[in-house]
Amino acid sequence: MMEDALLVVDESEPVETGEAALLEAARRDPAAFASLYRRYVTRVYRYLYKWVGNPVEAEDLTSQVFTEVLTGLVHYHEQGSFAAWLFTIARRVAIAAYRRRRPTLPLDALGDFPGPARDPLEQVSEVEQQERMAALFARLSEEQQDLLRLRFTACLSYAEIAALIGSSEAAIKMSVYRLLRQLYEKWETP
Amino acid sequence: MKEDPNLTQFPDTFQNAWLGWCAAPAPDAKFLARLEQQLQMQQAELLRPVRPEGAGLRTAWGKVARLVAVRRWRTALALAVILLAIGLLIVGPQRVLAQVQQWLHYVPGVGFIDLAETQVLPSPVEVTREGVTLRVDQVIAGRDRTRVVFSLPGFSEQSLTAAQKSASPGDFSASLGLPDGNRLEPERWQAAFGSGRLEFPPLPVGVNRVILVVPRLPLMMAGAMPENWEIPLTLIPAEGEAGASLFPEPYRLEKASDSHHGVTLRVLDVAQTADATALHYQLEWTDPGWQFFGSLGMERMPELRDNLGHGYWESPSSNSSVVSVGIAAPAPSQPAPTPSLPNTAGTLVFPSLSLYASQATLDVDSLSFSIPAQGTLRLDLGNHPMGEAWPLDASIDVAGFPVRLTGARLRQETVQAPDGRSEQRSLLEFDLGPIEEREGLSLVSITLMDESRGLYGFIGRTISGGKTTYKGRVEFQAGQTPTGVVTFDVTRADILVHGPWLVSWDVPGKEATAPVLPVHVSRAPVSKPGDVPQPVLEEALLSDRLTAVKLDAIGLPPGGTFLWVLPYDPFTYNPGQAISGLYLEDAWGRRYEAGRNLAFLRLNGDDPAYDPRWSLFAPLAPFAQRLTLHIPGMEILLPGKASFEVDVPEQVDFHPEEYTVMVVAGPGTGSQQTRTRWVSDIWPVDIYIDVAGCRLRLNQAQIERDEQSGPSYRLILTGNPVQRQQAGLSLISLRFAQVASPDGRVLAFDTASYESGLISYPFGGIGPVKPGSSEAQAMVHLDVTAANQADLLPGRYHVEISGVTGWIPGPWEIQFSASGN
Repeated sequence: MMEDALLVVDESEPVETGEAALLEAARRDPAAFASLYRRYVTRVYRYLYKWVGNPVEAEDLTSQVFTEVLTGLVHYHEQGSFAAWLFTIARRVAIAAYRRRRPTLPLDALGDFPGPARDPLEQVSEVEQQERMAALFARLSEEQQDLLRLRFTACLSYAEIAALIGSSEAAIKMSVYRLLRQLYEKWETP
Repeated sequence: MKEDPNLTQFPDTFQNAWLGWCAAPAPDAKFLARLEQQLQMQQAELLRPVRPEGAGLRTAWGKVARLVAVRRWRTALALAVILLAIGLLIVGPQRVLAQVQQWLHYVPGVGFIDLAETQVLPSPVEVTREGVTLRVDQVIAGRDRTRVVFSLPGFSEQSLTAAQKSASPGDFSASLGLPDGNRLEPERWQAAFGSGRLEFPPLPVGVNRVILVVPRLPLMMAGAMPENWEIPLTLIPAEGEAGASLFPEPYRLEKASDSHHGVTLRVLDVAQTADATALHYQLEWTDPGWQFFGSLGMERMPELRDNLGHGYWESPSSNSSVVSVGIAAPAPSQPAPTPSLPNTAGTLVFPSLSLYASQATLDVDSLSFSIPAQGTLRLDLGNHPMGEAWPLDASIDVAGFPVRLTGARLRQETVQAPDGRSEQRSLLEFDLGPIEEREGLSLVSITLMDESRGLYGFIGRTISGGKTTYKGRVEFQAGQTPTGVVTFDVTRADILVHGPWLVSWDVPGKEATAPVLPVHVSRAPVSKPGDVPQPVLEEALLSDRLTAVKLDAIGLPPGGTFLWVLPYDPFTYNPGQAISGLYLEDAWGRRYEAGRNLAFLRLNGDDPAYDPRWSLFAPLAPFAQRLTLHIPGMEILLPGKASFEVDVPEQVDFHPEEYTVMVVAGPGTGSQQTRTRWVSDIWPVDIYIDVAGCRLRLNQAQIERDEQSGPSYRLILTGNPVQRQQAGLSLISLRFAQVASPDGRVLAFDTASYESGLISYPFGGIGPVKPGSSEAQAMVHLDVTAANQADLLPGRYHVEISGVTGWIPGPWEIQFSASGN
């Protein structure tokens, strides 16, 4: 076994050059790091929340992720997707937490964001739909679930997910399409 | 996210159900602020070496980032508040807030809100029971909803036992009691330990007194804390003088806009607070078929600049407060734009503009849209076996972009997920000719679909090493290799619209006279000139947003140039080691840490180039005069010329090899992880490098294959132990001039390439033979991947080296006056 040293992060295939200047500055300038943090923290939190299903644990994990990002940023020296690297860390942290305690996402959480006021029947219908979607989602593999979380909860671009997963943007788009289609077909089936 | 073309192909009912399921709450604002503060403190203590620009490599190596020492964010913010207050006293609030628009107000953390017919809480209301205080910080009761923000001052999550905490957000509930006895239930809420936000339906007409009812504090187990809270609240009209004084009033801009390629960016309103400058913007485009992806700036973040040379990056509310604002009743003399074209609006928040700025400019580099693109691509794939590549000559016009497929290949790949699992995938890949930018638009990706055969793929661009290439990819089940004719339909394309959009305006109440700040300090005299290397002050700029210092060095070896401040020797890096970094100190003994600036320098206008010779610090406190700059060490460059050639064999076999990495999670901590990589056998080479008075030898070569990240194939050259102290320096890294590949490609580098920090390959450096070893070793990494980004490119590589960098330890002190004299 070869012996290697300090931090190694999963490298990502450079897809877009976004944030390069900010990343470079963030290594030297905490104000720039704060900008990075602020740009991504909500997406990271939401992503982690979707994994663990409660805000307390999501906050803990968010702290853990950004602590790792802070210490690892100077090691991250790639041109390209910072988001991919960031969510590589978030994903690892989430998987570890999820496997420590596989929680059932409380359906209460579904009630967090019912959206604008509607009539009660409509709200009941929506809760039913979301429960059904939750059941379909649960049938997907862990990896498939995470792909959809990255796209639709964390709002990562396909290029960013591609860099994170270690695949191409095209392959990710295709996988997401297939998963949505799979969900849709089951959702349509009474 | 609803505009995702993958999703919009399904019925609305499914889309809505899916997006409803995907929704997750926003994090609590206080948690965000607390975490940010913690991170700032941690950043002050971290030692941070740069890893070598290679994956899974010997990472105690490489050049080292300069120290970022941070401290006293609050002090800087407090200073900003004081300066704003002084500014208001001097200039006068009426002049500062000239052209105030009557209805729209900026609510920090929320965005621009129409406060017409809105009631607010004139001041926070608290209730204390059994030592626990519940405070309602704000209520905004508008026509569409009622927002309530509350907190528990002095509350500490750490003071709770696990038995007191509830993991389920569903345990929390709250309501608004109305005078008629009815209650409003929240439509949405966010809760965290110690704080929460609630959104209720609008209050009935005429109601200004309500009672906030909280049966149990958020995330608490039953009985853990006082329960059944009731807090009476009395609201006042926001439009009155008392209400209006609570929120910053924006000034309206009439003609602040910029248009490119049919897309117009307008800044409609600007609000200035002590710690933020908030912009209410609108984006409008002419083509109704375009869908905006929702983010301003794709290759650079949106940036605010002033006429003093400051640049400002976004603040957090820019993410959280993007709202579409309906301006109900604009003042007749200042009509709001009433666009009939597709448009979107939002809020951008930046750190507060300098009090002395009289002009501001918003800079947005590019915008991403999804656009319609009708076309059909018909290909005869023949009957090729897995692993074969063949030429193609097929073209399709996609939204005016000519797309030409030049080759195809069938291959399998193994993908290893971060959790260690691996899987096989079969791919049909396409090579493409270049796709040129057209009238300011770049093609980012297109979708390929053959419904009849269930094939789905994409063509997209990849930017690597500063070069843009396009690749196509269709993934399919292993063992189901497609043959014969396939017909791909193209329905939509993603494009990038290039600007930049530069929207400028004059700040009301500020005269366009010569600015008072920044103060410019020219080069300080050198007290001890001579042959001993030492840094010198080249230039300094002092403003209310930053203190900037530009350094150079004298007494360097012949031809040597100063690169940047480097606080410690990367070779002896120790994660647990505490170091004293770069800082400024005034005659009163007050320290100004690097990185505590509220803005950054934009001395060259639009030029985003970063000059690492500048170091940025917090703004100076009042009456700071005599300054001392403490410099712990520096990295310098010795230019020179050398070259070598190395051959990559035609046939290379790879085998798996485990290696360990230490993932650092904080100072002095970390965990070992075992990973696998694919490597070739090692073969001997004999490469001698004599550059800038330094002599290095490389005698082993090995190729690493990693299809998941970075270059797919990397050549790693290593040498025997070598003397690290050479030419008066502690050697750190090699600088490359260019690398010529066997296929004729030449990758060239200049100083700016290195200053940008974006060079990953080639990498060359001098580091420990093993972690912690005192023996030094030279290493070079080269990208040996073919132009198609998929294959190894065998043959002879010619490498030219332009110099070496090394570390010179200090400490040094430079004194100068803050007066500019």
